[in-house]
Amino acid sequence: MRTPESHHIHASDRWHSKLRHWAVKCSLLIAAVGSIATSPVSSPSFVSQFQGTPFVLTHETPKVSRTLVVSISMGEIEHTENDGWLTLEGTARWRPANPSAPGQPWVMARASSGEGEPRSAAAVLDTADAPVPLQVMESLHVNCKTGDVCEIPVTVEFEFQNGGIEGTVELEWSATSSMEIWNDDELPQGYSVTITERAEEPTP
Amino acid sequence: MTAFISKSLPATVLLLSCAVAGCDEGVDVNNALAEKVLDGSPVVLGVSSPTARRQITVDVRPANEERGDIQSLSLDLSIKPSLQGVGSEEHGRPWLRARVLQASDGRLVTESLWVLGEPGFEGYLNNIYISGCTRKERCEAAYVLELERQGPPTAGELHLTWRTQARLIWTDPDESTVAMTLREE
Repeated sequence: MRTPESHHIHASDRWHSKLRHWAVKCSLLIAAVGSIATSPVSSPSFVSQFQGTPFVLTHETPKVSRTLVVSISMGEIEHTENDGWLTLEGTARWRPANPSAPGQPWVMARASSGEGEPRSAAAVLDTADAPVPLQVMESLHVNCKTGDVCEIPVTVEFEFQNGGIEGTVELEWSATSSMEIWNDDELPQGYSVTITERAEEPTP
Repeated sequence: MTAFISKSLPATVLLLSCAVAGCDEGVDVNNALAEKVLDGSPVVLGVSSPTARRQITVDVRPANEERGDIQSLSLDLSIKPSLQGVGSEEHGRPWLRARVLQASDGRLVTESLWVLGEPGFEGYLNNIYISGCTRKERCEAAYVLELERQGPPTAGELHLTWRTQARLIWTDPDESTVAMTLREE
């Protein structure tokens, strides 16, 4: 049986419950607005791809280096920051001179945009002719102005173990850049990114 | 009303502080961070004995079932190699592979491969998150660290020292409500 006291308690509880409910709602709203206000905004990513020319690593040339240039056309936008990644992917195939000889050489890929330590990944070539994947991700960053074309040179290298194990390594490779701009939620008109390979300068 | 304020205020303050400072930075003030470091037994890998294994066990015991829970439990590993007895240039720089396996079933958790030869090199296997440990009861997780070096034609002895760190985020600010141990079996 409900007494007036218990009714009063229940009514008070209901009031408290309603107040608590709205307090939580308000807090969540404030938190959400605050979170949106303090979260950095970035555009969708602009993805570009580059297919490298395959090559062969030998004991005479155990290391091959290439320079890729990531070029960014800013289009119609004010000075802003571009951030993203270059993903270097390779597939290595070990062609031993003597398949029955022992030895599991390593192969390594590196990528460097000049900021910080180069990123690298290594793999063991443990089975003749089998494809071995390599992947390295290097961060990219550049400040660009309206109408500028900004360039980020990235040195990519592939190397295999030189010494004691006879054979060659065939390498197919590609690179993908994924760039976005900060402080805008969309890419500006005319914005584009391309990847090209810089021709090697002739040796004097 | 006092009860309402006492119940709602901390949550409101927490939400507001999250909105201003961001909830994902550091450890929440309502949680405790416990860390344990273990220096593992040294490993020597020769060309004829290229593999070694070490078992690590992390054990979390709540002192009081009413307070606290495991929000996050993770391991970090660092390995310092030193190639001795031969110049690495003569026979090629050897590779070193480190794998972390579940001790119970041998399942691979994470691995890394390094080419040795850089002076002062240190390899890391970080952020090994221990899943399934969120209950308010004792939690024990065992892992095997498997270290393997390249065999011939590389030569010399590879001396390895390694260290592991366990990191626990406990949902009670009082650290005394939980005990964590980290040991090599």
